[in-house]
Amino acid sequence: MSPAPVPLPDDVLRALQATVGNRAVLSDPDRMLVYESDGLTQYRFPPSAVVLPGTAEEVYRVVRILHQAGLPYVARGAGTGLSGGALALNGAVVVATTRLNRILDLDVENRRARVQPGVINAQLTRATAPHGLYYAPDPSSQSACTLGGNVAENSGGPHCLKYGVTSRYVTALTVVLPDGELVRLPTSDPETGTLDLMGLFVGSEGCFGIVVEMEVELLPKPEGVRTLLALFDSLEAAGAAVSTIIGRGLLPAALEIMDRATIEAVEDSVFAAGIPRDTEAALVVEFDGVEAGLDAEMEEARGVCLGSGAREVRTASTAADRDALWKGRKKAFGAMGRIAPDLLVQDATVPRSRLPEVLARIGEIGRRHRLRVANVFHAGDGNLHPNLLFDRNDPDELARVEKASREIMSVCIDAGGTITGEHGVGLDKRPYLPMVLPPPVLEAMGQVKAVFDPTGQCNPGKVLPDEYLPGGGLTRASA
Amino acid sequence: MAGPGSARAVTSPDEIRERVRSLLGEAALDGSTSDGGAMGPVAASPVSPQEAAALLRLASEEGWRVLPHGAGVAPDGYGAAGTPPDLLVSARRMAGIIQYEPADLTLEVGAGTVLADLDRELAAQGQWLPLLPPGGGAVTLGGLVSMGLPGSLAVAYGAPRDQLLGLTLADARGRVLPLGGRVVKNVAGFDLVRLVCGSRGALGLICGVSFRLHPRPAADRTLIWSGDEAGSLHALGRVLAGLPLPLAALEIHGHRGGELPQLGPDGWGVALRATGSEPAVTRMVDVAVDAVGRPTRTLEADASVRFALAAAADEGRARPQHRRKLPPSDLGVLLDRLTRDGQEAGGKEWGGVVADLRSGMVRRLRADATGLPPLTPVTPAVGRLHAGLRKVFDPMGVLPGQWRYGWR
Repeated sequence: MSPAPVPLPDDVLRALQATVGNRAVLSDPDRMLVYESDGLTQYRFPPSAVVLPGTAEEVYRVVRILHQAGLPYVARGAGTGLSGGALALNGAVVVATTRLNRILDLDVENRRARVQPGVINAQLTRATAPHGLYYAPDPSSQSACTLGGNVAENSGGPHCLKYGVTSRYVTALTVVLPDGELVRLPTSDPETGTLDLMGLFVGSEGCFGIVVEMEVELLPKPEGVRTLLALFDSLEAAGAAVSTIIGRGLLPAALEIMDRATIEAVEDSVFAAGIPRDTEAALVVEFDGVEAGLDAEMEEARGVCLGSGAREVRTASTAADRDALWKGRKKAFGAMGRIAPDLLVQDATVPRSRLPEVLARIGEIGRRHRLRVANVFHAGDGNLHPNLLFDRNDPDELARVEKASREIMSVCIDAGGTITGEHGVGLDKRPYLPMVLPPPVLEAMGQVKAVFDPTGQCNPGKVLPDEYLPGGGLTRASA
Repeated sequence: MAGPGSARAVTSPDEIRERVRSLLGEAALDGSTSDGGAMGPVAASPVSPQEAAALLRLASEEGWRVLPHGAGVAPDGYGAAGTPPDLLVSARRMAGIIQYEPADLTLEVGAGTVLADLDRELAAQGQWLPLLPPGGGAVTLGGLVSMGLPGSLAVAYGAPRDQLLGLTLADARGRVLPLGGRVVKNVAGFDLVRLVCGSRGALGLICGVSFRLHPRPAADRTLIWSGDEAGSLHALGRVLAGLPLPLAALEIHGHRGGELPQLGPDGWGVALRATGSEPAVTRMVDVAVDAVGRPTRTLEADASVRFALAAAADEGRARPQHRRKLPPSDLGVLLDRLTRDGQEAGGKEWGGVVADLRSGMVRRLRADATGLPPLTPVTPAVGRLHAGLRKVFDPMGVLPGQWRYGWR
């Protein structure tokens, strides 16, 4: 399903080359292959060119050229997004931030880091670790994804149950607006009468501009961490353990569940974590904080798991043991690549108390559509990741995946939830957004998008249905 | 149609009152200001988001300047900024719990709900909404979100914007906009929730809000190191701020008015609040005491809560007041300056200050405080974004965006 690439006008290509240098502009289809797709692998959209600016100034000069030429463009970090947010629709020019990868300043006393958007999430934590600090948001792709991409998606991760998502940790944001203007976005301040434009920008999926510099808050590394892995004979029992842990007033740093299909995939792969293959659900519970009291919390959680019917509880207090317990959970997505050529990751969130019934209904939907569904999820915050396994070369199966996908989202919305908890709407969930947002809200969002990007050139065709986007998402205009 | 930005057709309070009465009924008019043909603004309280939207649409059509307000206890309360409104709109009649599922640790309430009332309901379930805005327990949840001001617990638990899951906004186009949701993670569409949080009424009336909750801590302890001037206390506070402890709050307070006797006779103190399990709190306190020595006093459990609430309530009373955010390591210079100003002002004249030693947020600064770092100017590009965003929700400019903040 690759549409033909749209060639870039010669004068624009030359202007881009003059701005960033010939080597930082790719227009040869072979070299642009990797930019056709992101973490959502069933789509491929060839860009008309890929530009790799090396400085913030180059970013705004590039954006100005594209804006003036009336051409669509899309920012891209590491391309690990799971909703197609970085796909180059309509032959958009990809503006990749991967060369903007410097940590500009690390202020240990004030626990702040000033970074460029192409810095990799885990790289920041590595750089701050010698000072006893770390960067809290930890999406599962953290060894590859960029901080600029995290801002675009307002990324979460297993530990956001306790620590919150990206927007809480971004303390300053300098962006290039869609018309090429460089601006430092204010937050809400009664002194100057400003609005929280920074908060609005975080999670805007590349539709409001491109981050060129950011400052983030770092946290002191917790004094102690305790992790347990509990194995259950039913998903319901694991879900009940989660509810009881929360009900007891414990606040773990993470509460993660994998189901049997996921466990089997992991155990069949090179990432085998030593979980018996007949385990129906594996629950990871992690506590962190000051040392004192951690053992007591851990013991209480262990008791809850056993009381809920866990057949085995493994605990860890050293980093190496902890990594072993986390291994299955962290490598789950990678392991699934082995058992099916394609994978559609859902990302719905439901109120935690509705988890058991929603999981049962997802299982039923999978069976009815003869699909393999593997569940990995952030149980603590009700964020589900049902993975639908398929082969995109089988059109019948692909059609069933799409049907099941829509049904799963319906079930989650009916339970009081939403269609995306942390992956974003992007291209993939755009048709489903009207299921969860009424027309006046879609209209207001379209109007807000138009304030930032009146011509609709900046990441066209994303998040909102075309009829709500300025320029109609440019879908027809430039296709 | 005449927006207040253009040649404004002035309607008399009596006429406005009559129009509101015929739209929403007598019950929507608040007695306190609607009697005797007073010259002040008409005060109205719609009972639902739909009524609020209809009222704001009418105001928009008529060009009445509208000021949404909560309990009137926040430092930016009505009266602080020159131009009087024609109509005060409150969510007072949209109060109470809409949905509360303790097992989900989430809550949806009417925007008119008073924080202290809500806190009692949550306490009964062993849960907590860890927000202490200026005004303390007297604020309404809608007012709290509308102001969006971080309080003493913001570093540990997040500012209002970080704890907010969703809200329902009635805008001046007459739309009811349910934004966000009730689940703790939600990135479906652009983040208008954060845009509205801290917009101070400029985008509409907040009618309902939903929050994530926390378990109420088993132990709660506040340590106060008193002193007579900010400089040495800041040095002490800096040591505490550098400890790798997940403290609930760490602030330096300066009060000359004696409103917070816990600070001691000189009115200056560093207050460290630790919450969590009993062993964790004990450990945090031990580490702190090892680092800087014994505190002047220790407030346990209820006394710890009362001090935090009193400080927040006091912060709401001081007005007009200012706030600045600076790197925490730079706080010393500013605090020295404020100490000198305070001494020159001779005690009671001087209002006070609260500085968060970890975020660098300095609050409760009186209007004539000197030596404050300059405010970041609003650049033309930011101004254009503000004007554009205002028009999305308030095309006629009847809400405070234009007539108070000048977003044209």
